[in-house]
Amino acid sequence: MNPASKMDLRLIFHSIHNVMLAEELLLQDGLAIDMQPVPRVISSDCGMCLAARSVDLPRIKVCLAKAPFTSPIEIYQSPTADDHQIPRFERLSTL
Amino acid sequence: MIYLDNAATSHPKPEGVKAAISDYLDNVGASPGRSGHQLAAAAGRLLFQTRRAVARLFRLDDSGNIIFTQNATASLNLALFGLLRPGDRVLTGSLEHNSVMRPLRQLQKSHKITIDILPGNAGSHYDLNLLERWCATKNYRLAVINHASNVTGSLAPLAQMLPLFRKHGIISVVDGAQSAGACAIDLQALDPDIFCFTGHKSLYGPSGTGGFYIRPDCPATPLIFGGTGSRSENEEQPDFRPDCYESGTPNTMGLAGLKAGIEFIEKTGLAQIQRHEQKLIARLESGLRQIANLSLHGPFAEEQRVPLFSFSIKGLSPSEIGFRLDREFSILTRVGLHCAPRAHQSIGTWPQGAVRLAPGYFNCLEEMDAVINAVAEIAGEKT
Repeated sequence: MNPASKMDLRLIFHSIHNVMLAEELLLQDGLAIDMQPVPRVISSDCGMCLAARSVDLPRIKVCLAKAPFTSPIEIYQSPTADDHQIPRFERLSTL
Repeated sequence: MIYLDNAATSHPKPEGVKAAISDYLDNVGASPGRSGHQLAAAAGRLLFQTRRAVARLFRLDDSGNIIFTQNATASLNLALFGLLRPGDRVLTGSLEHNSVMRPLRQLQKSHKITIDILPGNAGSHYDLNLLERWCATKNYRLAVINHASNVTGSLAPLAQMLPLFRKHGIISVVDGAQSAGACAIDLQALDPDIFCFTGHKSLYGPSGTGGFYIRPDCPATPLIFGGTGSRSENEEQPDFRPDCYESGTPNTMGLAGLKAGIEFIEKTGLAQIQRHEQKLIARLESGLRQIANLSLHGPFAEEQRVPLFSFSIKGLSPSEIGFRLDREFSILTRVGLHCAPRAHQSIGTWPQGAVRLAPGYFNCLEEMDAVINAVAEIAGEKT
């Protein structure tokens, strides 16, 4: 797999409302995302997060800055993860 | 059958409402925000889209401040119990429903709050000079006002009242149970702290749906605490919206119906719905005015009302009129005090109450003529 196409980011929103808001915004901007369960190694939240590509991170940040999210957005990256394998994540930043 | 009890709950619902509820049951069924599978995601999207629809209807950009509850009463309870503190002074109007008065009376006992009631009449003709004086001198923490009376249909002048509250640092809570969906409401412009609505009246949703808009800086504490699907590692309630106010599994099935109800309003056009309903009210008003001994209770300028009003006939009890309309003519109304005893005191119909007529978009003018004829017969003007 081309490393640039890896869904190696996880965007954590905590509120399902914010997940849906982000999904709408990122899809409108043509960004590749995938809604997935929150990985247990990141959070014990019951809900969903968005998987995305780290090559898109600058665009993602610009896009998410457009909307009033009601909780902080945490961004994690896995150096080895692909769409189905989530071994570990490092926290990159909080928006 | 002629259904004129739309102020209690609208009936029938648009076809799309039934279809949306059925579609949720058949094809979604899951709980939003609780799981990571595709049906949970579909339920989450449905909830998000419903919140968006409510925000659009009230001309708000941010749907994150729309909170869902089971009805306007639950919303008002959250607003009043979540904002009032022991010893606070509260302003309300004399046309309030018991969904406001009973929580206030309970808070009077439990929190020793003081309640001032601004006198109003059948036309919601509040004395704005008196209101200004009270706001300037009585140190209110909160004002709670009924937007549209469920007895007379009269609209309170929110555009004049809310800026007064803001000017004097008074938290404003609006009971929009009868107005949401019945008239255009721009919450961005009105800028209340909390606006409560129900889903099952003029928004055409099913019963068990409702909610409120809360201003971003309004400090109401939640009334119900528990699971939200978010911050599950923490035993403390999350502090972000909408989650902090929405503990427990939501009524996703009902909210699917509410979304479809709002989409019906958007597709039909609120102005078109209003035009039709105001025509029905005008026809009823002009016909009933011809009946001797009949009194109408309501404002009859279109811009001052939602589509409902009440009437009384001298010498007949409202319950008798309502019973005969139902049994002899299959005309369904609501009689009595309408859970608003103080409103009836204000308009002079206490303690018997009145007969309320509340047509809806699915009624027609011919039905209004049949109602006029039936009331005339009951009043003894026809045999």
